[in-house]
Amino acid sequence: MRRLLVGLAAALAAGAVAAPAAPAWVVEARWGSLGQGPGEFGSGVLGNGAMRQYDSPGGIAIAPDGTVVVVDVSNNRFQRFTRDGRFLSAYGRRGHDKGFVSLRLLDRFFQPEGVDIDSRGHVYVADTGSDRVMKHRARGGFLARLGYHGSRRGQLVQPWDVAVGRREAYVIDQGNYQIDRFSRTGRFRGSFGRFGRGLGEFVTPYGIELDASESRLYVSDHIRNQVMVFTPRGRLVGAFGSEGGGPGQFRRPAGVAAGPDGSVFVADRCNRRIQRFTADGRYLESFGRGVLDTPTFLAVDRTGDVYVSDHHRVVRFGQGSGLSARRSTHDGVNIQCRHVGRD
Amino acid sequence: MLAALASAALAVPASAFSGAYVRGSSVSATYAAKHLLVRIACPPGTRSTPREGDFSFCTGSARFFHRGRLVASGPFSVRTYDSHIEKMLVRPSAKPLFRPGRRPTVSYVVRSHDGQGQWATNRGTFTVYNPFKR
Repeated sequence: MRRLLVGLAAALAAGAVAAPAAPAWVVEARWGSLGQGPGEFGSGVLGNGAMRQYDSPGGIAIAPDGTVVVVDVSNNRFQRFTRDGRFLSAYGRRGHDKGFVSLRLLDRFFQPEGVDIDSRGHVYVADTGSDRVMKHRARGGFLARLGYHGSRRGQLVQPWDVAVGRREAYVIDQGNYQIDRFSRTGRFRGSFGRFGRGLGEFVTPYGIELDASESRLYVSDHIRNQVMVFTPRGRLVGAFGSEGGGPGQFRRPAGVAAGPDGSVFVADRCNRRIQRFTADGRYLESFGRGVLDTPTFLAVDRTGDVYVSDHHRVVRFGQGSGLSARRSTHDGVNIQCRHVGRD
Repeated sequence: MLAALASAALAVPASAFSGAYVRGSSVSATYAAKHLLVRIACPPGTRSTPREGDFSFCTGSARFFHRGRLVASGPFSVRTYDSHIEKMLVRPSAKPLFRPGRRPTVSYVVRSHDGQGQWATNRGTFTVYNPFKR
């Protein structure tokens, strides 16, 4: 009997060894540089509060036609690219809506951050500095505004990211410590969450993602080092992550994205990596270390490739042959992680 | 000894959170005195522990009184280092107070937190004017 068990164990072990390993994530495309021209992301002067500026592109989203939309935070615009990084168009310029709505400001942004795209290809940009979310056509053209500055119902302070479903858009309302729900035409539908460190409470909500079945809403909390899972109506389903550099731990989690297989990708900003989890939050793998500097937002296309907004550039990871393995980091530029401990 | 050290460590104050306050000594009312337009400022130094300035706010509520009676109130959230004009809802019974031509003196109580558990309350007075014609 014992021999049988030992033999069975050996056979299982041999099978495990013989099983094909999951293909590694490799860089398949990389584009962007510092600047204000087409295909460039700017400017990199860091400040605080209303004076803040960023050294990375912001939100990133994939349109139904496969084009990649990337928010250019410091240049106050969004740009469109092919999946290989060829520049297609740019839209938007600097303009600060201080709460007194002006028609002149409808094509303008002030330090926008997150972005998402609906099934019709319309682009929703979290116009963070102007406390509103703007809905535009992909090639430009104002369609609707979701919210405006304030702390009452349907009002926003520092909207950081947006996730759009078939019927509703969900907005990270960072200054009011909550998630706001709007119709796709901008009508306020409700909100959930509040400030705190308890279950379903936020300190710094950052990234938001709605899964393909629209049954789960993933929200990362940058300061709590956690990802929370809600139903679209705001009931907390679960949470995962803690502070640290180990598997399943975070240092300043940022963007969240759901893959076509239901797995969840999180940009682990100050650990300079991407982590992948099951839909229930079980750790699967991580990648990007040694390649990424400030992974901030990310998106996953239909083929499962992962697009990450990094320092002045966008990096596309896939499980194919990849580009050359040349290390390409800008050590020392990760200024926004200067207070965060490392292993 | 350890307990004494621990209590001493706890007694060390974190960097002071001075809280949000009303900037200026004069505040305008909107048409029909529905709102007061109050500029609320969130000063620097509101972080009790190192934290990216992008993510810190003064969040709380403001209440406005005239002769001890609540005349307006509202919530707000303002970025650190920034100020913003906030619309504070005037109570219906107080609207005649802010009719054009009148300049009542209003006292305020602004209570706010810094997102890290520190609270502060600021008080003061300002004059309200209504820029619309009678």
